[in-house]
Amino acid sequence: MTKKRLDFKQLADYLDQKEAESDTTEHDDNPLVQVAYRLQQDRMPQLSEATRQRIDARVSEAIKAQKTIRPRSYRLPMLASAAVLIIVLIFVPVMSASAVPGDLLYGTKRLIERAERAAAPILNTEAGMYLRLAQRRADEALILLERGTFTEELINESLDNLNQVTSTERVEIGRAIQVFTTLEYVVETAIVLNLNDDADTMREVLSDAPVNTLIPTTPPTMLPTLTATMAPTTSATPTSTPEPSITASTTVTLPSTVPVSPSSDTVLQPTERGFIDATARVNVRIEPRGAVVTVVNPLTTIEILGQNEDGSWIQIELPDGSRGWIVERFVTIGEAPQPTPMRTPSVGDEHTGNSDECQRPGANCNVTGEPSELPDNIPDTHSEEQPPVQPPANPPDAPPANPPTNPSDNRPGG
Amino acid sequence: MEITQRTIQQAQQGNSKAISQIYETYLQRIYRYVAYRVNDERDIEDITAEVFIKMIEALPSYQITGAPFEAWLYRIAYSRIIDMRRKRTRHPQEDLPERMASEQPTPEQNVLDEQADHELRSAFSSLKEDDQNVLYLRFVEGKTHKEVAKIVNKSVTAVKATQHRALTRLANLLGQEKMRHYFRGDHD
Repeated sequence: MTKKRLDFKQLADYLDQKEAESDTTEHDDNPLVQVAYRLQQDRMPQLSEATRQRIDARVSEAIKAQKTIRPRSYRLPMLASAAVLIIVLIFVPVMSASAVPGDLLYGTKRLIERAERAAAPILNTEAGMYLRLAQRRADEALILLERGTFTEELINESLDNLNQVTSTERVEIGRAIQVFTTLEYVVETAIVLNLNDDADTMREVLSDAPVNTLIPTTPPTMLPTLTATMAPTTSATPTSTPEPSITASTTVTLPSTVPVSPSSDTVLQPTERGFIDATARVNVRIEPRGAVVTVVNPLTTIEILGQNEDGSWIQIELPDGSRGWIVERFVTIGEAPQPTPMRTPSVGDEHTGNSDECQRPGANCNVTGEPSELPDNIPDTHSEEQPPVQPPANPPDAPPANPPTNPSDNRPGG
Repeated sequence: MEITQRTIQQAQQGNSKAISQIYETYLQRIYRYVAYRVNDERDIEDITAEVFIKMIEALPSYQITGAPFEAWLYRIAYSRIIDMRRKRTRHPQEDLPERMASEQPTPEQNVLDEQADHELRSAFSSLKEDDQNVLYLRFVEGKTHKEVAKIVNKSVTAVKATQHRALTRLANLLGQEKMRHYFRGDHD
């Protein structure tokens, strides 16, 4: 019992204590406690049966009506599902575009490609589609190469797609050749890095690729220039040593305008025969350090027409009659040795690097697999013309076709 | 008896059995809560029914937070009472419920008690809504400070402070003379 004034905490504690002790507060002197007691003793309103029945009826109707209303909780999952679907349809294809085998989204990428394949005949976009797929596989192989792995299947699949390209109309030759050179770069680099166990087979696969048929053998812009500038030079070498004295391993050393000395070990005939002494294809340019007009395979027999002033460039004529300039160190006078450890050149195997990019005068673009990929036979004396091999982690300096460091950035049409 | 979370979830999915179970569990409590603060029998019935109809409509969006389910029902009832009072400008002391007399017959000697009840309800009705809420839940429904705090969504300290203020005001209304002595600290 207390009559003393209590603050709100004391009052609360006091009432709690009374409740815990089941003590009656009826005779407590504290007026607040007395009021609390009166409230506790107040009679509770009772629900009559009639009132209850009326309330029951109204609530029952509400329950029945509720059944016809879709619970609002279903709307949120539906909205969430729609949002997820939109994200999947829009973002996943974009994100999966740069995926390579082994990546999480690579399966999605292939699934999307299936849809592209199915739709291409309907949309009449087969040529572009096959070229795109070939480029993607080549890019993937390049990315994997940068990661230190080589996947033969990607090379084969890319070539298969290129094969489809050749059988369609409206072929973009330049892009097809770019893809092909990327594949060559990957294969040769993998060989150099000992990532490719079956180097010869892969080289044969590449050499047999139908993409070769896409490459024109005679660039139309080459002949006039060559004829005008080189004809006097080639006619200025009337004497030479007999042809049998020339060995296959001798490298040509030609003065430009001075007749070749008879005492020289290497004597240039006006139309001396020689061959390409390299382990990969070599660029043929419209003029010394000029634009690339075609490429020539190793061991291809050529006619030597002349050389420039300092003798660093040789004018040659290819078996198909086309002419151009080539770095002197890749030319050897004589017959090509047989057999060859590299892929065997054949007639019509000269690849022309006339992609759009490499047609630009002065473009530093090596169109196809050329000695720059193969460090064994490339002294770094003509770095402008034939850059040395680079590790695959930094391909833009090394590959003959300048394969993109990040193919996804450079991929046409996705 | 309290309702389980499972029952609430079933009710949210439109299970009429679960809804009925909730209704049965809380009908008396909500009715008493409304009846203690509203005088008109018809208003009490309407508000009680509306509380459960509103509950059924809003159940799908009800979020289970761990707070007692009845707290939600009390809040619905509270807002309905406020709405009703806004609509009607009737003075609360005008008509004390006849149901108290009819439903619970008063013994012959309880005329004084009835007058006391009338006085108490009258004073109670003049309190602020929040004060009425706390005093009703604390002393009529017999809930602890903590339970009341959860229902009215306030801290326990705030409930204790409200309780003190409301009891003081009620005591003042019921016996002003006595309260003057109390607040002066006079002792017998």
